[in-house]
Amino acid sequence: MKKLMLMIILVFALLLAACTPTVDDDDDDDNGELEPTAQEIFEEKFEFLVENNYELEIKIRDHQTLKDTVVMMYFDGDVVQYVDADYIAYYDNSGTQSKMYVKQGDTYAVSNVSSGPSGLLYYGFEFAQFTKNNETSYIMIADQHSTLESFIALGDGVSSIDSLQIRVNETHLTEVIFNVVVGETTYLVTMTISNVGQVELVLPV
Amino acid sequence: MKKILISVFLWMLLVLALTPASHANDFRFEIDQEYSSRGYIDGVEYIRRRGTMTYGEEITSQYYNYIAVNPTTTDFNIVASDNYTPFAWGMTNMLGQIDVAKQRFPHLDIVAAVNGDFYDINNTGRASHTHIVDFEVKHRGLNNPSGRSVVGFKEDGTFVYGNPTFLGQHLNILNEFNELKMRMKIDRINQLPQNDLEISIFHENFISEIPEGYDKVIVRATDLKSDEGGNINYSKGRLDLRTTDAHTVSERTFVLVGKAFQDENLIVETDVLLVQELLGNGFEDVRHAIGAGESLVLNGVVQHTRFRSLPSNNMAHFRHPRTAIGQKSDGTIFFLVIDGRDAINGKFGVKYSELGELMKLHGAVNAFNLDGGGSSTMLLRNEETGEYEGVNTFSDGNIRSVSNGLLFARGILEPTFIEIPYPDTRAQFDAPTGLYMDGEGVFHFTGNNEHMEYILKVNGRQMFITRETLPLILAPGQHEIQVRVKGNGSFASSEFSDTYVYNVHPNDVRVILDLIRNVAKGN
Repeated sequence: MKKLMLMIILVFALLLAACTPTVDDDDDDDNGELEPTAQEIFEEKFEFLVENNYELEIKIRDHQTLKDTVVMMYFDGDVVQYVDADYIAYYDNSGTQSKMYVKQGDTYAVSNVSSGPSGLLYYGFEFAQFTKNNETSYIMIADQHSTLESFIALGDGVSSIDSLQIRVNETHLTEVIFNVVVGETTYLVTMTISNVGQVELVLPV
Repeated sequence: MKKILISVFLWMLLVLALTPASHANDFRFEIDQEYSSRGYIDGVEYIRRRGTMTYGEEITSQYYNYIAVNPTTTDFNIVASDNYTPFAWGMTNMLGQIDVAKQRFPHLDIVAAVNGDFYDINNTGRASHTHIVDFEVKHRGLNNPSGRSVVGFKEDGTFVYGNPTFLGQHLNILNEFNELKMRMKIDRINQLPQNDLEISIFHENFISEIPEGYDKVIVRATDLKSDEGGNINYSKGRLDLRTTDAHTVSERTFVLVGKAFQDENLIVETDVLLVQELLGNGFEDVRHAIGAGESLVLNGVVQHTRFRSLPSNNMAHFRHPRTAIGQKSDGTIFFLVIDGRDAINGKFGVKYSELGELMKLHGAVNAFNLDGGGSSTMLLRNEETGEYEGVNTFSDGNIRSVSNGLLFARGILEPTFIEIPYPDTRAQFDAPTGLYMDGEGVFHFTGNNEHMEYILKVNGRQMFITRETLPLILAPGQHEIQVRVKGNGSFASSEFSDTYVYNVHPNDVRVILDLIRNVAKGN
């Protein structure tokens, strides 16, 4: 009887062993490659900025009145279009000197503008500045907001930026959300990125 | 004996000849320099004066204010003001009247204001005599205007005075562009036309039914004004219904009857129908006018004879605060407001004779008394604050509500009541193009070089302009801007241009946007 019981246990053990899925020895995928690290995943979301082709909606909400201001920017490589209702301006950053084309009636007025420093706002975001909130959002670490000071310094009247949060989808950055303090008033800014790789801009003649 | 009599007679004649007919030669005004000033405020000549007035044997202390412009040689207009409500009259102080005028004429820059005609102060607020605003004869005036006059201004600033004659009520059909499509004499009031050429108007006081078979245009009134006898002399409205059925006039409507109205294009929904008195005696094309009181100076002569003929209890013979309007030989129009009813502080006020002399002293060839006493008001815009301030002393202690007034308003008056052909066979102007707002808040567009008269529409509100570049001060928010070329006798108004949408951001938002725009420069 005891032998029979041992046989049965062995048979069950074999059956169970047969049903157990194969477990890899390490994190190699089927091709033998490593899974991306959290930093790599973060940085992948910003890779579209190399092509620099996307739409950007900028929404500024006045907390007091709950009124929203919405303007659009379109990026296509070195050419950027700024659209505020029927006010339209193009920036051409292809040369050493940036140029601005402002629509004036049926023509455009061209002027030289000082080029901005590189790495402004989300163009300069780094993994170390953020903590992961969930799979689709990251929050800027409180003391990292000071890294935005060089950006803030470009504005005339902006006191600080805080509570910055970014959102991503499977492929790229989708939203940058933060508070801006002007004087003593706080405004919520939501920058929404869309249509990556689908913008076509032609500089006005 | 005969020689003695002749000598006596000749002496008497000589004495009579040397005796002044009035105190005119005795009039003297000694200015107290310390309290007197003269200067220009936004183009208006302004004199503030205190002094001692000697007239005959009477010596009084006087304070007065003077403002003047020349509407024939400058861009100043003299504009009539009021705050009459639809279907009624009304009273408002001159500050309120300036506000109303700004809404009526948003393109004009109002610098100064004075009170106007006498009025029904205890009841309706109706002006005593004629009242015309922008060609609209809201009050045709008195049938027997003894002791009263009308002062008016034509398009070019020409001064008109006297009393108008009444040429009958006329129907003015104004198209959507305020052009005069047709003017027709109203032959009968509350009576049926007697032949196919006549037209009639029926008012709500006609209680019987207008019989069927007649061509009728039922007009939904936007305003009706009646004189003290209850006669409606000013009717304004839009087409409500066209019918030949029997009809009873309902409240706040009027009915036009006549064969002419068989033509369905003559009156359309967008037309404004204005029935008002056509005035004569020089007032045919007066744009703004108000009633006035006694003539003070005519052709350079102070009207002492007239003043002396007035009964002893007439207000002419008593000292009160006064307002007067005068015309100089070069076309300059000036107003004088004299303080009074405050003798303790040296503000005695003046009699008509003294007022006439003062007006003449300032160069009036023609001058007229306006409503005075507590009504006397002179407002002048403070150059620094932009607020309108009373420069005279209000004898009531506060600024009084009055019926109407006159304003010194700078700018170009919009051409209206331009006669156009009917049917309208004019070609149309091309619509303006190329609208944009530059970085300095200056609006630009490409219009018509040969006819620079435009209607600017901002968020539905229209304004007459004569430039293709103008600064626009707009409140924060989104603004929809369009322009059209205004028509003239030869060309019809253009369509409105494409809409230009312009966002004005609050300062903080603009700061944030400017910051974010830096992302566009580089990266």
